[in-house]
Amino acid sequence: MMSAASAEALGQEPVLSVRNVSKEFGATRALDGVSFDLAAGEVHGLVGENGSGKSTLIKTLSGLHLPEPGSVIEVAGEQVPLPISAASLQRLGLRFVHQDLMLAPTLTVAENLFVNELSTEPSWLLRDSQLRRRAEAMLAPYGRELDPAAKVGTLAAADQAHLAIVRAVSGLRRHHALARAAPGVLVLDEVTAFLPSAGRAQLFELIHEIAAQGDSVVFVSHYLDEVLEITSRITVLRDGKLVSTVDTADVAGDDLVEMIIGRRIGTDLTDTHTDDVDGRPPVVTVSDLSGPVVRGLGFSIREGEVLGVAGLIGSGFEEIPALLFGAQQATTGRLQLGEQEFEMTSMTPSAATGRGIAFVPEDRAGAGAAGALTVEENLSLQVISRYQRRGLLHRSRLHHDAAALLDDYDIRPRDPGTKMANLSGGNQQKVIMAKWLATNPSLLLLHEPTHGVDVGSREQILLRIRKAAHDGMAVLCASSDTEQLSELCDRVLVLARGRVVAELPGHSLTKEAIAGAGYLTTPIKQMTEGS
Amino acid sequence: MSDTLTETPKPTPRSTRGNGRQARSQFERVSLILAWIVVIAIFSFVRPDTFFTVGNMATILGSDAVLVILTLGLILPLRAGDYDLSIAGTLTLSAMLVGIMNGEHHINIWLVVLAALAVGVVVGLFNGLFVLIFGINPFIVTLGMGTFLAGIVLLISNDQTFAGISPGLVNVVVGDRFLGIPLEFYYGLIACILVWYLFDLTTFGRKMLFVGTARDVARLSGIKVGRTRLVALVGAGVLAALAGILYAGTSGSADPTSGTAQLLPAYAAAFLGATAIVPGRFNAWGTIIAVYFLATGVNGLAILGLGSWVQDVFYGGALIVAVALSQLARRRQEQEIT
Repeated sequence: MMSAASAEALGQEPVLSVRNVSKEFGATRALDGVSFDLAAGEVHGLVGENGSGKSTLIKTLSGLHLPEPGSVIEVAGEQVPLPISAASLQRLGLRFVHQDLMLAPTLTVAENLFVNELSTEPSWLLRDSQLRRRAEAMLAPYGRELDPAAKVGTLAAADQAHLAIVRAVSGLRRHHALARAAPGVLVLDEVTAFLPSAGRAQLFELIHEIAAQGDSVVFVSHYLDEVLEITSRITVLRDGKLVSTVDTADVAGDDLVEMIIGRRIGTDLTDTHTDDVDGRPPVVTVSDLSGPVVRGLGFSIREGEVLGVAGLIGSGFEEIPALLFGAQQATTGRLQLGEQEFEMTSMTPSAATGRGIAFVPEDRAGAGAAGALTVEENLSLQVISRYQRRGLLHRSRLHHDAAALLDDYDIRPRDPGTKMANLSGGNQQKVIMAKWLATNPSLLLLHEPTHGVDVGSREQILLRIRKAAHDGMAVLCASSDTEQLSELCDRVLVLARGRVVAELPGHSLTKEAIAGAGYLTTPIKQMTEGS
Repeated sequence: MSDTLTETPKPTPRSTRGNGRQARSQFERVSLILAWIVVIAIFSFVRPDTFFTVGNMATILGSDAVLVILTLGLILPLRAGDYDLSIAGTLTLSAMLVGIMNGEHHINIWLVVLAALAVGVVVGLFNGLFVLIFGINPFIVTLGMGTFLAGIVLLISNDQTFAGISPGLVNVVVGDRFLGIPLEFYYGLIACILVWYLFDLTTFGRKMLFVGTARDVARLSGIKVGRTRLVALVGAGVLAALAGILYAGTSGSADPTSGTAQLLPAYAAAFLGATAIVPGRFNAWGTIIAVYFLATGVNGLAILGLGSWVQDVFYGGALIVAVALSQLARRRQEQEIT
């Protein structure tokens, strides 16, 4: 391991000091005794896998979470009462740009810029023209043209990110104007995901400027090349625990990946393995698929193949099933399914189901099944027309078949009249799988098929998917559960920034290989065809 | 990671505390019928010679068929998750068309009936297309439509009441009787059977149910959500127009304002009906029972000599109580999960 650099080496008293912070959610320890210091004028990276505790730490710092007793947060040597209140965040000069930006989409750019002042400095006479002039003055130094009167929801994602950053940075400057020039802290949580490369360069310049004035920046990002470029020290979290805080100058990219995932990734990414599905013809061919994040994606799935798509959150892998199903609108793309060809821009869920495509969404309660309706009603929805005879639904046969499915899929309780919401997560997911497999689709799209599912049900669901593939179904599974992907898939595509950066076939499918490949930013694509 | 470990399969609610829960849900299904019987018994005891007579019972069953059909129309969009506040406006317009075209201009009554029904279709289409094309909340669209139609009625009627509607219509609505009850009552019953059939025995009814309770699930299951909502709103327009025709046939005349007072009773009955027979869902049999429960209460209170204020107080109060009851039921069901 690297030697941990001490804060004292970088300056005097730390600006922000996190001591032994823990946070539990039920039985899960999301943060476990994490400590780190932030020196004045430093850019500090915070990295870790999805679920490593980064977000929980940021949310604790911004007062959204109350940490467990014994946790201490000090700002400029002064202990802050927990949870940190919005007022003390303002007073202490802590500014955040959160991953979801926290902008009000129906309000204007100017209104969003001044939301902090509106809440702390009441005024009885707000004039639009004045607000507008102040907004223009505030935006001017930051290069990018933004209309203060534009509604934020109509802006491009990059402009929204820019606005959120400007708001936080000018808040920090205002803090300097008011307070006794005590250094402030700017926390940037995954803000580069939506920025184009020019915007990224601009942001990095801004970060340097802020640090040069003595303020500190916490930079959270999945993109290790960015973290290595901009930070002076890096804190690594894994499974809620502090792995280490290191000087950026002392680490190479490989070392950092190893610290993040806990193992060194093998250099055998080029190992191609011929599996038994390799020779089969492709039944699904996707070309030039683009959506909010993914850009010009192309791949094919063979008959009976389970293709995984993976990557870090925000890399675009998570939108692929919804785009293919038409649940989310694609901007370009074509899908060849057997003999049929579809234009993805005009795909709708009803067209997709009509052509033998099935979609199991991630949001089980909101989009997968109707919790207020019964198990039988949910199970039979896709095939309900089979039960219509001379204008009447054959209700006893519906009931009988539903009961048979409950046995077949081991869904408990064995009562088709139970409300869906009264089932456990695992049993709900089995109902959703049964509902779609009853249609015998030719393409099965899965998004996080075993999220929040107990171990027993997880095994049963994975077996069902394998069996469906064995019977000739083409399956696409988008998942952040790398272990599940390595168990389930014949091949995995790993995405970063909307593009495929690695294609892992057959036996190179290990949990570590998939997780490690997510940190690649330049494509090293292997071809598995034609062996 | 560990969140997959913390969740264990839950025991079946029925195996642990089965009998009590089942008995309670059975009671919930029939409680409105029991309440209706209690109300009849009380009024019969207090006013045996005026309330508990064949004539009065037939009056209740007959005269409130209009409300039955109007409410059955209302529960179509409610089942699909949309409010329709224009139904009373449609009813009034339809009744007024019958009054003017037949009572005043003596156009053949059956042609007039067809024209009134067609107006119901048009109103439903307008509502549905505005909601779908512009993505406006149906609450707002139909609120505007209801007021708009009420104004149109004032315009075409010149604020006058039209009498002289063809006896042909009056006879088949209230004049002729079967088993001593006006035919009107049986039309309500037939409409109830049709809505029950649509809801419970057709694939379209299932799709409406999903569209109304979990719209995203419906969309992602390939259901054409927009078309389903449109059909429900058109259905509401047609049934409201039919209720207007019966309304005109009941009195043999059409006045420009009294129909709009039917909106709140329809909502009270729809929400009260959703607490009975199939609790938690807008359903046909619950609706018809709720209409007659409320009508019996109003009729009895009027016979006791209470003024016309009692109707508003009773219907308004019933709407709030009905919604509160269904909220309580929902909360209790949530508790049973944990």
